[in-house]
Amino acid sequence: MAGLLAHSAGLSSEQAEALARAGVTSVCDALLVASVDSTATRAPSALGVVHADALKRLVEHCAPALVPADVLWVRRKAKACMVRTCTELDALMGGGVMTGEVLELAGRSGSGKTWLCLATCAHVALELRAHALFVDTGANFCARAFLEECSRVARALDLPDEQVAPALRRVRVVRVSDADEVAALLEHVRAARAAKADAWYSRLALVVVDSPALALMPLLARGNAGHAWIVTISRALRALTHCNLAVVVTNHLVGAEVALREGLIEDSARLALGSSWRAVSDMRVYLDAARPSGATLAAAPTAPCTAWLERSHRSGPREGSVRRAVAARRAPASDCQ
Amino acid sequence: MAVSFPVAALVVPQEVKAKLLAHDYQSSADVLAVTPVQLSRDCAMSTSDAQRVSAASASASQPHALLAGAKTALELLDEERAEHPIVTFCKELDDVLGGGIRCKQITELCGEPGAGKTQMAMQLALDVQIPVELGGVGGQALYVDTEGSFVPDRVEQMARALCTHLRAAAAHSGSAADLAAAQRVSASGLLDGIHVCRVHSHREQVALVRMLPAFLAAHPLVRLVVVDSIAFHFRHGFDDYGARTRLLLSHALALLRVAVRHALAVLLVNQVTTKLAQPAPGSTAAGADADGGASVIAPALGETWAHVANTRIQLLKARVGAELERSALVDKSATTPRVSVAFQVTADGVRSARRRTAKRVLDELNGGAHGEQRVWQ
Repeated sequence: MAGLLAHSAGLSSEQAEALARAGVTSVCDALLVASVDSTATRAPSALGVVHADALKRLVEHCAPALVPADVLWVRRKAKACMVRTCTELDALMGGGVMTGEVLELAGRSGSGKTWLCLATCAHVALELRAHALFVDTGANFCARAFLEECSRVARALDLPDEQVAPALRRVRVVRVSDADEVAALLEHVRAARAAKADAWYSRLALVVVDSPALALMPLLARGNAGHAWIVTISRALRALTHCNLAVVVTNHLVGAEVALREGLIEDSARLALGSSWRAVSDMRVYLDAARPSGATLAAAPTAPCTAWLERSHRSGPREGSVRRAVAARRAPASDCQ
Repeated sequence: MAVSFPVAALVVPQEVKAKLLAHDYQSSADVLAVTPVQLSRDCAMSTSDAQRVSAASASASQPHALLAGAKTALELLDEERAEHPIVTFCKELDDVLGGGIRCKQITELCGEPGAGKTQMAMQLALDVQIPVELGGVGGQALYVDTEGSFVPDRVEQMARALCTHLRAAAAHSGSAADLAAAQRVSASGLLDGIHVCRVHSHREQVALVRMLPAFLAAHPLVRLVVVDSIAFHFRHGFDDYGARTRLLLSHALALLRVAVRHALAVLLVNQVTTKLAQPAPGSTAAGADADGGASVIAPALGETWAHVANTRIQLLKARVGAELERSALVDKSATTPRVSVAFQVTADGVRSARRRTAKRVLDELNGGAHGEQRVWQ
C-alpha cells in the first residue's frame, strides 16, 4: 500500500505494514475487505480484530463529504449566471448556456461553429463584463472577426463603442496543437480557478475549446491511447463546470452528404468524436449553414444558419422545446459588398 | 503555484498510468511526495518509468507555459493589423478576404482541373515577394509541387508582368524609395525567391513537412508555403481510409503549427469530387438528375479534412457564350459570409475580371495602364 495514502488517512506505518502482510496492498483491496457497516467494531474474521480501526479510518478517508441538496441549490442560485450566445439560439436554449454547463456546437465545416464561439465570448466580455478563455486548436480565432462581433453585440446592447476595447482585453486566446496540451491546459485553468490566487481567473466565466476533435483525431489510430485522451479531456471539461464555468466546445459533423434535416440527424451524419465523447455536453446544438445545392453558384451574400438543439437529461428546466430548429443569421461582414 | 494534476492527464504511456492508479497514486502531488525509487517499488515499474513519471509530474505542476503565453484578443488584433496579407491581384477577392491570403492560417484553394488553382498559387508565390516599400510582404515562397504542375516558363511570364506592374505603380506614386524598391525587383530575382520541391509520394510529402522547421531556419524569408496539390498523393493507394484521414490530419496540423510559429501563410490546393446528394425537401436542387439526385461539387479528401482549412476558396469556371467566366467563391472564412467574386487569368497572371465601365473603355482606348495601382494595398 502506498505509504502516503495510509499516512494521510492517519494510519501508523505498523498498521499499514500489518495490512500489507494480510494481503491488503491497495485502497481498493481495503474497500473490498472492509465491513459494510462502518460502525462495526469488528473486522472481518479473515483479518482479525487488530485491523478494524485501520480499515475504518481508510474507508472514512476515502468517503466523500455529504452536501444537502438545498445547500447546493442555494449555492448555485447565488453563483450561476446565464451566458448568451446569439438571439435565435438563446431562444432555442431557453436563455443561453448557464455557468456550470457544457454546450456542444456540432456542425460541418463552415456551418458557423467558430462564429458562435466568438459571439458567446463577446457576450461574456460585454454583457457580463467577465473573462473568457478561448482554447484554439486550429488557429480559428480571428481577432478582426471578434472585433466585428463585439461591435455588433455592443450595438445590440446599446453600449457605447468605448466598451469594445476593454472587452477585447477580457478575452484571452491560447493556441495549442496536441491533445495532451489541451488536457494540461484545462487542468491548469481548473487549478488556477480553485486557487483563487489570480484575479483574472476569479472573473473567468467561460472556457471555449475550438475544436477538441482536431487535436484528438490524429491520435485515434493508436487504439486505446486516443480513446483515453478523449476521456481525459472530457473529464477535464466536466471538472471545469464544477468551478462554476460555462464551457462551449465544438464538434465536427461528418458522414453522408445528405442535407441535415430534423429527425434525420442521426441517420445522415455522425459526430467526429463519438460515443465516448457524448456524455460531455449538457446541450448539443447541430448547426447547418444553408448551402446552394448543385454546382450553380449564385452569389450568396449572407449565410443563414439553421440550428437544432438536442438537450441531454442533465440540463435544468428551461423554456423552449427539445430539438426545435431556429434560423440563426450570421451577421454580414461590414467590409463586404 | 504548485498544481495537483490528475494522473490521467500526465504525458506518460497508458500502461504506466494504469499502474499508478492501481497503486493509489492519483495525482502529481502523490507522485512528487515520494522518490522515483520508492515509486518504482510501490508500483512495480522500472526505475526509468518511475523517473519519467516523476519528471512529467514535476513539469505538470509548474505554471503552464501555454497559459502564461495566452494573448488577449486586443493583442491578437494588433498583431493581425500589423500583418500584411498576400494579395491575389484580383482586387475584389482581396477585398473580400480582408486584403488577401492571411498569415498564420491555412487557406484551401479548390476547384476542377483548369479552374485556375495552379495559376492562382503561382501568382501568390510571386506576390509574396512584392517589396515592403510597395505595400507587400517582401518574402519568399516554398512551392511543394506534387503533380508536376509548376511551370517555370509561365511563372517567368507572370514575373515579368509583375515587374512591369510594380515599376508603373512606383512611377505613379513618384516616391524615390518606391522607385528604388521597384528597380530592385527583377523577373529572375522573383524566380529565385520561389523554392520548388517536387514530391513523388505521400511519404515524401509528410516527411517534407516534418523537415519544414529546419528549412525555414535556413530560409527565414519564406512567408508562403504552397502545396499543389495536397490531395494528389492521398487519393489513391490507401486501403484504410481511417488511416489516410489520420495521416492527412496530422500532416495538416503540422503545417498549421509551422504557419502559426513562423507567421507564414499556408496555401493548400485541393481537387474536387462530384458527389450525388439527396435534395433537401423544399429546396430547388439545381442540376438535379433524372433520378432526383443532385450532383454537388465538393472538395476532395472528405468532410473530416474540410474542418482543417481556416479559409476555403472554391474556383469555378463557366462558359457564357464564347467567353470563359471565372469566379472565386469564398466558401469558408472567419470574416466574411459566403460570397462569390469574378476574376480572370490573363497572360500577365491572375487579375480582376474586366468590367467594361466607361472609364475602363476610355483607358483601353488610350492604351494606358489599367488603373490597378492600388491593387496591393
